[in-house]
Amino acid sequence: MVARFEPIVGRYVHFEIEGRPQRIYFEEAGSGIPLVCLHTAGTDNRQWRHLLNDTEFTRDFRVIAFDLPWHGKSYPPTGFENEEYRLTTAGFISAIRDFCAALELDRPVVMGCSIGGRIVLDLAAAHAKEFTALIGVQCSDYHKPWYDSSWLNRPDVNGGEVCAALVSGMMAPQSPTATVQETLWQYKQSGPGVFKGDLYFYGTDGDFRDRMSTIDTSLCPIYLLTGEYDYSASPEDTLRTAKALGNGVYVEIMKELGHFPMSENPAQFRRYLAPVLARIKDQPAR
Amino acid sequence: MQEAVAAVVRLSELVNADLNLVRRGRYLTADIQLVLGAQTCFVSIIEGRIAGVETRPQIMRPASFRLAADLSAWLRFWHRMPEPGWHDILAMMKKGHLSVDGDLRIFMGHLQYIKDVVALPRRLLGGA
Repeated sequence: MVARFEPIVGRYVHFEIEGRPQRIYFEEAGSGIPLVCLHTAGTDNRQWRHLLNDTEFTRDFRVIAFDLPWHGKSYPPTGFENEEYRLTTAGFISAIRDFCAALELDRPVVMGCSIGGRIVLDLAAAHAKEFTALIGVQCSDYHKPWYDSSWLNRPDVNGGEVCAALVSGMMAPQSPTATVQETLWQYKQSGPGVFKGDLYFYGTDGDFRDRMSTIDTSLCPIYLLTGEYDYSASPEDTLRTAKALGNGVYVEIMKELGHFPMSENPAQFRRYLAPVLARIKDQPAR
Repeated sequence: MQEAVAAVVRLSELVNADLNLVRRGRYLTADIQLVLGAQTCFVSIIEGRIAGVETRPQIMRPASFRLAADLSAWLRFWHRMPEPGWHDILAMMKKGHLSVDGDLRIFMGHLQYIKDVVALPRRLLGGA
């Protein structure tokens, strides 16, 4: 068998987030418009591997996916053993902006899913001029906690197994078994308490409903893509968010997809992503 | 109702023939109840294998936990390609179509196995 190499290249970059030194792992492929991808809660940048390998997109976009601190191959910061991990709105925004600054990216596109889809609203509200466009996958202005997240990190229940089992039904039944299982494996590998800590941002710190009017979509286009089988960040949540954003926001409910479109069924997701990236590519310079 | 109950009774053969599912459930020994509207099915699990399913009335029979929904809700869940919101027991719980009560530590500790077991009647009732 002939070995086959992927075009993805992985590296580490050192910079500070909220005053704490971090060693952040990222992967990239392609050239052109920078497209920074944000993973979901409790996982890492492997969710984006299919997009990073999609030559139709990497011909025009420099696709970059990084692991947040505590996730994937980005260690927690020094001294983490003395604290309980909690992702905050301020910390998440800093991580994204500081990463973009560290790589000297010129007005990148940011695409995030789930918590990553939620944070693009903050970027749009406070930092719109720094970005060419924002894509919220499974994006909503508010995620109402609907279960007791203490189950995700306790000694008598296997954390990896329960995190994976909790999200398994958020994927569409049409999604291929191989990519569904790969998505679940990421949850099984997450550090203890990390998924729970990310949900602090999602359900407690990240209620954006009263700030929707602060977003001016004329400063930076926003695109919303949500899978129909996601009952956590549901189509209804996304449509409510789109309505609050007003005219000019692009919104699409994606058939046969759930909460993890890019990793559960990459072939189906790209059908919806392609027209969005084509629009961004043709966007007039500002 | 009869067809649905018959499908639940056949969980013994469906689960026990799936050696990988039995392996994943090997640390679970428990009696659970599946409530289909007015009908309660008593499912005994021993180390991941289904030891028996009983459907005759047994008032006050203990169980580790029970999953309860209307028959119509179970039938939508057991469709071969269920609609969004009816494809997962937690999705149904969030919408108020299904409830769980009892020892939630056992339920959460074996969540994926339990999800997979209760979805198996889909093979028999799945429709077109």
